Amino acid sequence: MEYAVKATGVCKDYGSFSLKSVDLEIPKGFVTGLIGSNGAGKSTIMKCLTGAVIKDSGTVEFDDGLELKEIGLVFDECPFPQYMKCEQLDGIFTRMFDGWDGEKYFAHLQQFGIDRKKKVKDLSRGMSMKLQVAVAFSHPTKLLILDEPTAGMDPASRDEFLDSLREYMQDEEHAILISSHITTDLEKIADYVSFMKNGQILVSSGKDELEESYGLLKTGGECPIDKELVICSRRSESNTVYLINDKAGVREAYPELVVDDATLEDIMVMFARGDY
Amino acid sequence: MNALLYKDFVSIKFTLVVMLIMASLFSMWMGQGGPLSFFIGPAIASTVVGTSLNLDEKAGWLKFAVSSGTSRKTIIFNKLKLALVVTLIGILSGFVGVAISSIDTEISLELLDVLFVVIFGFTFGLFTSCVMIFACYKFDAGYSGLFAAIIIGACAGLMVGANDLLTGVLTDLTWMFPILSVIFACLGTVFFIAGMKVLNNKDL
Repeated sequence: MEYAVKATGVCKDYGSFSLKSVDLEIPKGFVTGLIGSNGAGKSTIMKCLTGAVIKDSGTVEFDDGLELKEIGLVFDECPFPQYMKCEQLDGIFTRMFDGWDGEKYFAHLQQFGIDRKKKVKDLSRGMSMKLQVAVAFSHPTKLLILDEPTAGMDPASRDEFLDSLREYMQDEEHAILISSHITTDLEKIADYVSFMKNGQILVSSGKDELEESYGLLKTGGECPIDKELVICSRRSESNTVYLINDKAGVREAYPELVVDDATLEDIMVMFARGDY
Repeated sequence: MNALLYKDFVSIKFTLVVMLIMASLFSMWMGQGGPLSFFIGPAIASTVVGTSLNLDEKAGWLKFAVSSGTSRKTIIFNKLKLALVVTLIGILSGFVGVAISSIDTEISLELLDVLFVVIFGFTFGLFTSCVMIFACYKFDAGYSGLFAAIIIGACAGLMVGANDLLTGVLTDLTWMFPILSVIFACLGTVFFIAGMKVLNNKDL
């Protein structure tokens, strides 16, 4: 498999928080989703990939020929000059990016319903995310790095945005790394998923394999299966939920038990809040 | 004009216009006082550079620029270019102020004196801007207004104090300007290099 970017053993220590030897591969032709709670390290690893954060150790390798200028970026906060009008950004990016397409940019502004005369600071959160998307889509890119791009967008806009990503992925040379709390978005778009917690990647796998292998077992009493099959558990007043990673195996070995399918959200919540 | 300078000039055009008007008015007011008028504009240049750094930090622009392949070196050199241009504009507005104020007075400045003062104003403007660049990257660009007040206040205090001290001792102070120019150029270079080191190691 060819990778757009491959990070190996990336460490970054902030004192109160650290990335601990993160390995992350973003394969060409696929969408990789990054899931984790707030403060898990998703934004930090994304910034380590682009060099905005200086890593303490580890390596980040880009595919031959991939330059930073060819990465489309969407950050969790709009980074464009706040006192400039949306139409004035065209003047910056014409000078900044080779192959910047002003017509395409203005078409995207219109498509997303962004008033070109409005100043960046006057845009709502959802609109400022769309503005970043419009910029990312208006110059030639091979990789999109999107940090919570759908945050603040209404469901219709999110759907439209996901369609744009699907269209972008028609080119097999393209790749996307996307983080989102809205796991249903990732269920729709991601091919690979990595779960992060406390600066570490807990699991990286194909989304379909994850959904096929992970399951939830709910019981009222003691753990009824071999504890080695359990990844983590979460106890509530009425029952205990176990996250297991060999759903088919457990169903076969314990036919009397009911093992539910686990969604990405279930898996994320269990990883984030479960006991190990 | 490159992308970064274009962004800066569009973002700070309001501050820049206010600065030009202020520099001209101060120069008109101080024009009768002679050479001091020529470096009011350069002194204000650090405020403009500080405003630009503050806007960059507030928006998170550096993170975007670096992630899009603009090197940190390019970013800081562009701030220096901005400082250069603004300082030149400041000196020009100083000239305008002095020219206007000298219409109905009989002030006449020697060409060599003016040249010395302009060179001094230029190095002084770059020095204050380099201190501002360093302070904003090292600490927090949100305090750029405070940094500007400290920088300009300290420099003005030093110069007025030196002027008071030396006036009684020496008859002609003009020769001091080339010496001060060299000192400020060296100090400015030191602060610029320090600012570059800070930015190179800064997480955005």
